[in-house]
Order: sequence, then C-alpha cells, then structure tokens
Amino acid sequence: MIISRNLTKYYDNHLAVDHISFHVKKGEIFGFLGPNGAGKTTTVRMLSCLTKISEGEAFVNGYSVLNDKVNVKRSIGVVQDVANLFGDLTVRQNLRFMAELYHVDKKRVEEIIKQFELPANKKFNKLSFGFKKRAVLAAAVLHNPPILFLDEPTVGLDVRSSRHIQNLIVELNKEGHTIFLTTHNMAVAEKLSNRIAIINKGKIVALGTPQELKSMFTKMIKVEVVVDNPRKDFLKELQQFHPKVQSNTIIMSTKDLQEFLDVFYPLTKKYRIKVRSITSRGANIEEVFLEVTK
Amino acid sequence: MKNVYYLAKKDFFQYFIKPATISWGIIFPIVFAMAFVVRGRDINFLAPGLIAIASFFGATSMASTSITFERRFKEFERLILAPLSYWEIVMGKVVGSLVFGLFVSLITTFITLPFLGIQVGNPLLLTVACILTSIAFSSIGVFIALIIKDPRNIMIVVNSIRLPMIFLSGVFIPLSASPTILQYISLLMPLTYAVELLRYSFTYNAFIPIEISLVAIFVWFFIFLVLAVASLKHKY
Repeated sequence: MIISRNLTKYYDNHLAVDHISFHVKKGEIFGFLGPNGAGKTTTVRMLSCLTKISEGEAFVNGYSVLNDKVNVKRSIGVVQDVANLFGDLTVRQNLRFMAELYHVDKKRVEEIIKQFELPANKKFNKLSFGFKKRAVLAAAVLHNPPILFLDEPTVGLDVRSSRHIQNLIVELNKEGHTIFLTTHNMAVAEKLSNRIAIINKGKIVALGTPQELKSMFTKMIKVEVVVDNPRKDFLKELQQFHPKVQSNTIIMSTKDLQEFLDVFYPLTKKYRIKVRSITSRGANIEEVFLEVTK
Repeated sequence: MKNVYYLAKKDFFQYFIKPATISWGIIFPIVFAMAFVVRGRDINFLAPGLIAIASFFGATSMASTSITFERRFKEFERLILAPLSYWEIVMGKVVGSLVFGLFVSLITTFITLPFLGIQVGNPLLLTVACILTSIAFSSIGVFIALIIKDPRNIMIVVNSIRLPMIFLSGVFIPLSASPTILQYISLLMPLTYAVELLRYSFTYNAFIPIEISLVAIFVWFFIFLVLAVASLKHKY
C-alpha cells in the first residue's frame, strides 16, 4: 500500500530524512517510532504530499507521490500532529466542507458524527483537546480512504481520551484501513502495531514485528529478586550482574539466565538470604527503542 | 469550478459573516468617504479613487488575513491535503476575497456616493470595473499571503505595498498633472488602471484609454494568479 524507496529530505543543508526504504502492507498498522527530530513527521509529510521529496520516490495506494498527487490525496486520510480543522466553523460545518471537497454524500457526515460521538454544533476551537483530535480523525476517515496517516494521534490526551482514540484506530483497521502510525508512546505502538519501524537521525535503524524487534534486541535479561536482607557482602559477590538495590528488591542483568542462577543460589545459601520472589524478563519495545536510538 | 465555489463558500461563512468583518466593511468606506467630504472639493474626481481604494483594501485584507490565519494554525494544510489542484485552491481564495472586496466597493458606491451627490455615467461599466478591480486585488492579496515567510508580518508587508501605491496611482493627483517619471511609475501599479477604469465609468473621461485599463487589470490579475499558483507549487 505504501512503498518508500530511498526517500530523502533536505532542509537547506540539513538532512532530515536519509534515503529510507520500507513498505507497508495492505491492512496492517505500521508503527513509526523515533525520538524528537528523527524525521517521523517529515516522512509522513512527504508521503502525504505536504512536503516536497528531495530524493527518492514513494508510492501510496499504487500512485506516485511525485507525479500523481491528486490520486494520492484521494487515497489517504491524514491526522497531523496538530488539531487543524477550521476553528471558527462548527464540527458539522467542517465535516460538510470536507465532504464537499471529497465529493462525499452529506449523509456520511451524520454517520461519522454519530460514530465518533462528536458535538456537531460546537465550534471546533471551543472543543476540548480530546474532542478536537477525535474530530480531526473523523475528518480523515470521512471519505473512507484505504490508507490513514496518523501522526501522534494520542499525544497530549488523558488516559480515557487516549484509550478512546486507540479503540477507534483498532476499529478503523478492522474496517480495512491500512494505518501508518507515528507515536512517542511505546506502549501504544507495541499494542497496536503489526510491524514497527524505528527511525533515528533520519535513518531507519530497526524494522520488524514487535516480537521480532524484542528478540533481536534482547541481549540482556533483567532479573528482579526480592530478598529479606540484601547484605553488602552478598551484593559484592553479585557485582558481575550489576545489582541495583531498591529497598528489598535487587535488579540485575545477565546474558544467560542459567549462568545467573548457578551463581545466585549458592550465594543465597552461603549468606543465608531468604528469597521472597524472583522474576526475569526480556526487552520491551521501549528498551529496544532506547538501544537503537542511542 | 465546484471546488472553487466550495472553498469560497467556506471562507464566506468562516470570515465574512462576522459582525466585526461586516462592520469593518461598512464603516471603513463611510469613514474614508467622510475624509473626502471634509476636504470638500474635487469630489467627482476623487470618488472613483475612493471606490478603488475600498476594493483594494477590502480584497487584499481579506485574502491576506484568511490565508495567513490558516497558514499559522496549519488549517491551510487541510486544503493542500484535499484532492484539489493548486489552481482550484488559489482561485477559491481569490473568489472568496473578491466577494468581500466587491461588498466593500459596492457599499462605498451605493451608500456613500448618493450622499455625496455624484452621478454615475455608466453603471454597467462601474459594476464590471468593481468586479475586475476586486478580483485583481484579491489575487495580489493571495499571492502576498502565500509568499510571506512569517504570517505575523503580513500587515506590515501588505501596507508597505498598499500605501505607496495609493499615492502613486492617480487617486489624489491626476496622472495628467504628475511629473513624467511618476506617470511611468504609475503605469506599473495595478491600482492606476482600477482608478482610471472607475473614473471612466463616472465621467467617460480618463487619462489611460479604457481598453488599455481593462486589459491591464486583467493582465495584473492573471500575473498574480500564476505567481500565487507557482508559489504553492514551489512550497508543496
């Protein structure tokens, strides 16, 4: 649905996006993560015809972003990182205007208002931030585009509004929309995305399913042990696992869990340490993100 | 053409149907006319200039305000994201501002001029002249609003173009009485042709032949339209 080949953006001499290539499959939610200034929004802007491509090419729904902008625009709905419907118009006026531009039946406007539970007669600039985001998402799907670009759709929202938007994203994906999702929220990305690309300093540094990424970057296993008395001499003997103590909890890291246990248990006996619990886990997407964007 | 209509209609509801805008559109020409009345002479000579200035300020203000507001709050990008050609976007904005420019110039004509007791020689030509003038000035406003880097500076830029133009376009001093160098400079000003065209519709008498003024106004409109489309293409 989306193909990017060596997509590049220069702002004067600054290289914002550096020859990135990827493809997004039909029907998937493609998470696009990266730190601030990594090139996420610039990539979305290039793919949605808002920013000129400096080098490379991209195809959206089979149409060239360079040569067939009108058809690209017909195929996409975009939620930008700002809530940017027309402030002095009501929600209904905004959606009707969009319906006119996309030649959509006015009945669809009422359907969308109902589906997104929007206050139709309220002016857009009088809405709460959560409703603004919802209204922008509603405007993006009004013409039922096969592809949605969602740039930070949950940023700045409270938990309830964020959850509501996430549910809408899942619902829209089930309806058949392919979704290109950029977010800072690792939990949201991990929960919603079928595949994730991580961009850093304009380059894609990791790409795969959340599971693939986690296993790729699970070099260290974290072990959390709760003991009765984390004695200093006992901790000294565990130095190789870089122990960090928080009250009765010791957090350590190891490359090999068995090797850790072979060392740890004899020491607990030696120092008569009573172990209350022991848990271990691999990397999550946040840790993968921190690792690849160092 | 439908998309142009939708864009203009949106601007109409978003910007024009507002008490502040309508009040400005009525008060501005009346206050301006009062200043002319106080001066007390050459009213017949000054009236076309008054209408041209009203149209000039109305159209350029509306074009530049609507676009700069929308650019500043990224609402303008909604239009870029829609499946519209750049021509449609620019024409939509021009037509939207034309409506306001025309509104202000017609208010000036139909409320103020009878008050001043001035006869219009050719009402049809006056109407055509008002439309052409407003459309040309709208395209100028749209072009300026699109090329300016920082939308907050729009009024400084627009006024630095508008004010000298008012004094160099034969509004206050007849072109025939101006020094030759100023006559040449005035030929580069779109407002000159608007004033001449309107003056002809009042008195059947103008310094520049009416045919040239008609063509020149249209050419200025077209030049700024093309430049506005080119600046959009350059940006997006």
